[in-house]
Amino acid sequence: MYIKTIDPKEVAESIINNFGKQTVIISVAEHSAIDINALINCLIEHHIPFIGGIFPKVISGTEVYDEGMILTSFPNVVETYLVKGLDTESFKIPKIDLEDDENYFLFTFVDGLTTYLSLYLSELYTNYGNKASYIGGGTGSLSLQQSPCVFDESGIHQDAAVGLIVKSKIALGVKHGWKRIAGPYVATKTDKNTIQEINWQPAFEVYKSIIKEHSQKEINHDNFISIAKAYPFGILKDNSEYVVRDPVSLNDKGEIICVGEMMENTVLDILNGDNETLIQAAEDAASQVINQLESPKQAYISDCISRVIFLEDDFNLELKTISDKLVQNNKSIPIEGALTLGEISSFGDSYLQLFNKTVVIGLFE
Amino acid sequence: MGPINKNIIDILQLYEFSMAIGKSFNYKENCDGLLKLIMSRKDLEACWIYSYAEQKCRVSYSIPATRTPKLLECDKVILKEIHNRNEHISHPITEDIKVVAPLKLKGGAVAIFNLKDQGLLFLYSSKKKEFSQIELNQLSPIIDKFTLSLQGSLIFSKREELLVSLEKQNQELSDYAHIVSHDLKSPIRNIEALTSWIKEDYKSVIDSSGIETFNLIGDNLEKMDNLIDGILRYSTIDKTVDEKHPINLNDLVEKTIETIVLPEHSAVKIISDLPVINGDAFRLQQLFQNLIENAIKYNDKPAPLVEIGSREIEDGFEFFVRDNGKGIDKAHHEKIFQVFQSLGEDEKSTGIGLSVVKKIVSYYAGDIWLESVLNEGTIFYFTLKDDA
Repeated sequence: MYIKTIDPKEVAESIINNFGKQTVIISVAEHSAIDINALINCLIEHHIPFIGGIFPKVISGTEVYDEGMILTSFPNVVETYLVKGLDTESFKIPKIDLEDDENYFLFTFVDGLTTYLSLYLSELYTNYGNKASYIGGGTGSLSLQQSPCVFDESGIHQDAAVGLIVKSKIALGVKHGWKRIAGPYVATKTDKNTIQEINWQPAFEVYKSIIKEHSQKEINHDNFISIAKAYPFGILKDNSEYVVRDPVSLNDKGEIICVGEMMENTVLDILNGDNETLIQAAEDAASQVINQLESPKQAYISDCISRVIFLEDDFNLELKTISDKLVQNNKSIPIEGALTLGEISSFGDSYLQLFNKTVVIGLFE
Repeated sequence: MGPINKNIIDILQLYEFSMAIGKSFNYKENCDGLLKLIMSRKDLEACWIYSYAEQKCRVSYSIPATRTPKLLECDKVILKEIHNRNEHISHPITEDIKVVAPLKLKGGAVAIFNLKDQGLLFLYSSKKKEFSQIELNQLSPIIDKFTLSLQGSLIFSKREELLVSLEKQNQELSDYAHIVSHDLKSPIRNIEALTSWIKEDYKSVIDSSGIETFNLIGDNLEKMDNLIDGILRYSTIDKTVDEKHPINLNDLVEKTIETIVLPEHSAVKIISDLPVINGDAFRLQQLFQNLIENAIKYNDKPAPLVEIGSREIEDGFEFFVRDNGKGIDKAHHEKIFQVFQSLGEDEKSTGIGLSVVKKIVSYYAGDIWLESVLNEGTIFYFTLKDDA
């Protein structure tokens, strides 16, 4: 449910009235005026178990909000956790034993700008593997300035992740709608989320020439975001869609900075899309999930903030398309979610990776 | 996507895989580097490696990680049979495969790669009916290269374990030496003082036999004191800071001879010019002093003679210390370099002198050996590099 208040007590009352003592996932829009620490203290006072994250914007129905928060709750929560220290490689994932023949999903919010985000996802999969499905999103500010952005009862944290494991079925739809325009290339020199060289040449020089050839546009430091938003990188995978990497800025050395790690020697294509292909992808993602569960009760969407930037006014059309598709037995399934810095999704049948510029739809019983 | 483009992508993907091999000597990190990449690019659900040790097979790596790794009798499960086929294969998920999987498999297929003496690598996809022969062939050279890097990782980890163990042993020896020197020497000195007081205070009531006994106690205390000094010297040879300077060995040996108390009619001579080498003066002085003292101490001739010389060899110098003593039986040629192994002819011998010599020579990566003729004498040879 969407709630717009700056009074923590009102939030606590809403949770108790709607979800009882169930664990709550709180997705907060970054421009909300509510004091997060006061909210945390209030929820603790009311003995409400919770995890939360701060996002550029949140989604309710077909609307996007800069302020307010989404409250989501699931029955049968097995465990909640906090992982700190994702700016180092030495963080620890909690070890929780999951039964072999049960359905679980793991829902996680992780600082979208932390250094070892990919390693966090990799360690999650190493721990839980195919015993769980995964859904979640990268938290943080649209300014791309890192700040504390995930929280639980211990406080609000930067370089951290929160999560919960639920014993229940989930249906997942994942699509992006970006198409190849050039490639393959090799990211021959990288440093975490920075591409320094493509095909042994300065990355930006190669990228610039590809865009020029495709669109006749001259990309430079000043107009980088406005043009690059339409030309993401696509990491090639066998038998499935590209893993998209979003180029978000250039550093002083003319190297391309992405959201999410780009490993050295990654084979990639340059992608492009238009409003039509992106919205079609959102519809496909919704079609993918709608028949997977017998009685779905709610949907959570992790939709990339850069899709909003790209689609602009048409983004509401993306949400409407999803909403129109998520109807079962003539009954609409309530849609809520967040606009994220990186999307997380896996059925547990393949290695867990961070997506960019992608829409992930989770459907829950 | 056209066939040419597909081929280019396949080749580039193999390039990506090959560049991910051997980025770390650590076994797990080495596996992580390649196998996580293959899993993400090939859209796989799990992978694991079975290694062999003493007829048992155990999972040495897996994603997802297994908390209770299976230990299997290799010849009682399908693993040995697959390994003996010595090829890379695709296999459906049969009961045989489920038994050896460290996780629950939900249909699909496994690709099994033979890692030779490193075991078997399983790649699992629940979405594939089988891995095509082309896929296996494409990955084959990558996996072969990976196998080599795993061998390197294991050698590295064994070396690391050995180093840790050696470091521990060295530390224990060093601790022991200090305990011996500081804690044991004190009671020895006390006993020595107490016996001398008894001798002095009760000299009127102790007969000559008693005095003889006290003298024997004194001799044994002295031997024990020497033993303790020897142990400390032996254990600290390679611990002290190496301060290398050009050393004129003619001067060093001359000065060493001057410090040794020589019996009447004995002589120590440098019979050929000794070189200048880069080394630590204290260690080199200990080396020559021990050899010369030994040659004199165990000499039964009326005019003991010790001769010292050297010759240039390919990467340094070969030295000799020759005596005209009683000679050493061939059966003892190895034993005499072991610590506490004296030939038992001298009650006061600690059996440490030649072990100190050997340790110094070894410290400088040289060799030491001897030639001896009974009743005629012994020649000790040793080599030192010109930059010792």
